[in-house]
Amino acid sequence: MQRLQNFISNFVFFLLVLLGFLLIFESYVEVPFWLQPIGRMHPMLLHFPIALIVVMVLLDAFKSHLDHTSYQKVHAAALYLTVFTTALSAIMGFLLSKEEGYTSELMSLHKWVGVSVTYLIYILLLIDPQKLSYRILLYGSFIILFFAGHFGAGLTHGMDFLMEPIAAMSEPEITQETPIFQAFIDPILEEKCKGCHNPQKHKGDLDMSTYDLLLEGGEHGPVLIKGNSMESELIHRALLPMAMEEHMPPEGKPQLTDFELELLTAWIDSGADPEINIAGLNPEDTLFSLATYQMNLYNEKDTGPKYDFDFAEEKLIASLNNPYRSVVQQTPGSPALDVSIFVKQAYKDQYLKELTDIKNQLVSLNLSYMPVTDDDLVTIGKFQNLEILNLNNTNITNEGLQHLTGCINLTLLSLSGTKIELGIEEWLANLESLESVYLWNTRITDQQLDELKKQLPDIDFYLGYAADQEPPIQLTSPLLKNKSTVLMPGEEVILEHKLSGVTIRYTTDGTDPDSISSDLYQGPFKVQGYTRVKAFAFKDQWLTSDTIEYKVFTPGLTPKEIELQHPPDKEYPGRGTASLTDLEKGKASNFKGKEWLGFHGTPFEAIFDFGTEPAELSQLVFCYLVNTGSQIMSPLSVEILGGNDKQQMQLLSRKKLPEDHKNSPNEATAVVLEFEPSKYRYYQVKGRPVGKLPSWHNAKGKPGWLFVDELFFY
Amino acid sequence: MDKQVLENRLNVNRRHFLGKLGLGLGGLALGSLLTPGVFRNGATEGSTLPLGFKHFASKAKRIIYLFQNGAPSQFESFDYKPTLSKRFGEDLPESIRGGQRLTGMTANQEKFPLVGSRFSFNQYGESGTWVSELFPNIAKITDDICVVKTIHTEAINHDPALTFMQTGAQVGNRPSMGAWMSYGLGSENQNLPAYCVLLSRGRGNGQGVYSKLWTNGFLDSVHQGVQFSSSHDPILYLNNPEGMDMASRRIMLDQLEALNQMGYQEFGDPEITAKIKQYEMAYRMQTAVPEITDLEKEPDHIVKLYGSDCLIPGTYAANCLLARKLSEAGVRFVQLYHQGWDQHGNLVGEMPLQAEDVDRASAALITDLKQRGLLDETLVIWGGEFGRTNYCQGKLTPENYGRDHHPRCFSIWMAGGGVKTGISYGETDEFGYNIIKDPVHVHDLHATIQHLMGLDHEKLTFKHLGRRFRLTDVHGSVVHDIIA
Repeated sequence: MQRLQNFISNFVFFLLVLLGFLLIFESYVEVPFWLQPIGRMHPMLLHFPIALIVVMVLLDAFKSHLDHTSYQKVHAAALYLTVFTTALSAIMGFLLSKEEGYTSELMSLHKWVGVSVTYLIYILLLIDPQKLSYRILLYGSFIILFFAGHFGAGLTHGMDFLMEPIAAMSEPEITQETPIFQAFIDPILEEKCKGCHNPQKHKGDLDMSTYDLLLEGGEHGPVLIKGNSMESELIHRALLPMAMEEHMPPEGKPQLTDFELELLTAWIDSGADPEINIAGLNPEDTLFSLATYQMNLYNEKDTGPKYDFDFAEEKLIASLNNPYRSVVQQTPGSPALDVSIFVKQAYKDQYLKELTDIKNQLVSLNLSYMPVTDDDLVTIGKFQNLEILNLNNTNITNEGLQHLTGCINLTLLSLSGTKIELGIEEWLANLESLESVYLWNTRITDQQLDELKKQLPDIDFYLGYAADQEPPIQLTSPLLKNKSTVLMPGEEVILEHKLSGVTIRYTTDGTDPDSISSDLYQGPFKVQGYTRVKAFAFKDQWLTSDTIEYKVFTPGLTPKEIELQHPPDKEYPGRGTASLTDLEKGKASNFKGKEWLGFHGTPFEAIFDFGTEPAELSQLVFCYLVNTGSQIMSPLSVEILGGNDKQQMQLLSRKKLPEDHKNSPNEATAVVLEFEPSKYRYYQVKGRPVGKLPSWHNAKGKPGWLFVDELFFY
Repeated sequence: MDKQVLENRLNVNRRHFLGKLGLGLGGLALGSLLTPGVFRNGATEGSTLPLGFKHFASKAKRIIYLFQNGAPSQFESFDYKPTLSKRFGEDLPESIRGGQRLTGMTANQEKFPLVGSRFSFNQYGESGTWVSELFPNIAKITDDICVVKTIHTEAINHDPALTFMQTGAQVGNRPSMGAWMSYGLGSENQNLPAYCVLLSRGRGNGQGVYSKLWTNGFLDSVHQGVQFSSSHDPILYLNNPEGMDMASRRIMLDQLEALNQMGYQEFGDPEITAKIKQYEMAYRMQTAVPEITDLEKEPDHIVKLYGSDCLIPGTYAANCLLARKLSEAGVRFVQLYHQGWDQHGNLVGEMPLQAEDVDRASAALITDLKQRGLLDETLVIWGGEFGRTNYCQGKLTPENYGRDHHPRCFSIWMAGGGVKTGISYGETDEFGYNIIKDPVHVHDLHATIQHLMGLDHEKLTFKHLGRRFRLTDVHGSVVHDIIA
């Protein structure tokens, strides 16, 4: 027996040290899930110390009636049991308190009272039971334990549990119908003002205890002017700087919070009606938002809807989630689930059928664009708590919708882009909660919609945008789909238009296409050399597009070596001579790109070496940039010379280019030089830049820039 | 040297080992009770709430942010100030300016001549919202939007202001708003990035945008914004190369993942797992993206709604349409940037062009979301990084003027997602220089946006460098008055 007692005593000592440790490092403690059951045994175990301490008190009270040895034995057994179960309960209680939801003030009260009683009871072990101090401690502990128990019960049952039947009416719930003055304004005054302005103590001759007395005001006249907060002394004084003597509440007293001040101001501005309530206000009023906010705070309501169905199991939710189906709990505290299914190609019927497992929790379902058919709606009809259903662009028809009559909580139904037509009124009428239905791009017309609205005035129908409201607009020009305007060998020109059903006509000879004689675009086509593809698009009910020009190139002959006779400007060196024949075209919008070589003050002069066995050439395409704003101009002239000796070359062709004018568009363009077919080893190309910018230019007189990106030899 | 190499390969040295051993033994009794981060200084995920959920119930699930980059003038859009026209050419009173710091562009100007809008204003809708003639289509949807006229910021130049608007800090090392949303709420559709970025360029004076604006900052790399290309293929290299079908692609990715897993086992670098996840997503994007970029399922009148520009990839209109399709497919945050709103000069010439680019498509987006029943769950935000001055920068003529940067007030509008509709919130003084009622700081805007998304801006945190960060840092309060 002695050994057992020693063991318990030591063990309890250990538990108390542990408890102390846990309390000190409380903020770092996180209880692992497998320890939680132990914590949850606290409400069971705690009955032992309570009962045992009662036994101890009774033992003590009737000590004189018992024979001494039995008393000692029973007392020892009861004492050790009490100490042991108390310590254990305390540890368990601590573990339980770390679970979510135990953070109130009541909780900390219960905790600290419980902890102190645990240590007190341990001290009983160390004191001689014959001494007076033992009795004091025992009775003290008994009383403290009573309070600890009471607070604990308050935690689980609510503090009012005990007296609830008696005090049921004391704290009324605040609703939209409660007058704002009674619900919020008076309590603010009570808390912050009435301490000095009451019938017993009315400073400044002001008594705020009732609405009428408040209107009466004080020695300086009225404090409240209906509808004018800025003139009301009540607000005015609160807004004065703290240092001023007139500031209210006086320095050192609890001040009005910004929110309280706003609420008071809004109430006074609204007319300071003592009876006005939230229900009687316009939702756009400031007072409405402030009071609603305050009401929700007061009622500690989650702003979201409350559901009475059970939570789905976490595991189940996890197993339903896959890359194509997302199942998400709306908030950690709500059992409602949102489900969306994505990617049409990956869709399977079972994705929908499997949702039957969560049919009670499913509140919002998004199936837009999925190949859902009428049969699938049978499954959806089982989701009786469904509120939002999105069936946009699915394959459903009127027939299928009848299966949805089971969705009695449906509020929003979106059917845009489906084959729905008139005839849905009847079953829509059965869905009593339904608020809005979206019918854009269905077979329902404007006139039919009016009919629907008449029959079902409680539902908002949305038909959205219809094209016939507006005159036809112009089509955009066809797009060139090829990645680059320099085509690879064998690559064909691909034109496209993002709008389906568009007709494209085009030319490749530089003339403007028309809708009669020009080629109809029926698919990719081949071009050779430098080609200006001009195209336009047209379609019924649309205005014909502008004609657009794409300059495309096929690769020409590549020289073995290139020799630049004047280096490009340091700022725009491109990739050196390689830029000239790398088949990469520069962008008109970015002359800083590595495709462009920029020349300033010097002409473009380069010798192209085609090796000892040159092929026949008859055409040069010289590509350059125009961006007059950045002083990048067309060359004045371009010429090509040929010869087998670098020193002796003859002019093959020369072209003068028209001068740029003020409105020349920014573009990457090209000039073609045709010459007698020849097979020279060397060709020299010269581009003469603008020496002085013309008089219309705001940098007139300065030399112009010449930008070259690519040369093609055909 | 050999020792370091060995340690690196083992990913542990003696100290690590002993430290871990000591912890392991000492922790046996209590270890599982204590959070693992207590004795370590390393970064741990410091969120106080579980991730992937809303903190509380709210309507909005997704955001489309139509960022008007360069800062459109509030005086020619939504903040009507007739006084400025009446006092044309008069100097801005110093009492109004109140020592506001100026940019280098007008700081040396001798006079600050007031100038009103050259464009007329009218009231529209049941709400009577003022809108300038430059935005005729937005004027038609005023009853669906909430104009906030009193946003104010701390920065006066583009880069810090943009960064501030996007990340809640002027220095560029914090996660962007979209990254926070991705982190807090997760991805709705795992076949697409949770955060997509679309760029377009207008015809006005432009300012650049750069990837730090859609950075994940210190958050995991999977939360980074994915920039779409403005070319024919919004996402480059998504198609399999010739000779590769989906089955062989699958095999290739499986093998690659095995190799990456080995790398992860060896080095423990979380970036490797992020990479694996991104490869997987790219694979699924191969089927998901063509369904989204395909315009064929759209009826012709969608093109009419957005304007025919939406047929040209890379335009604002095309991006608005793509944004709707992405958002419809569950992308949490679609960020658009339309550049070219920086009218320091020639405002009268440039602003109509900019407005023409965005007006129809912006309004179309709202209409389109609404007709699909999606406006309630999609929050759309339209606005720039700061406002513009009420006085002219450079030469003032009756025909033309320019406006400098102004941080003290500017206008944005929001729609959908549980925002009150048909209201104008906040008031500026008659000079349009200072706020006289209901100021909304950028931090407040961020707090409100997060609130609309069901997130408590004070609780969505991430621990980094020893402290918890949030989008609103230590500021911000929710503007309840604009929440329905």
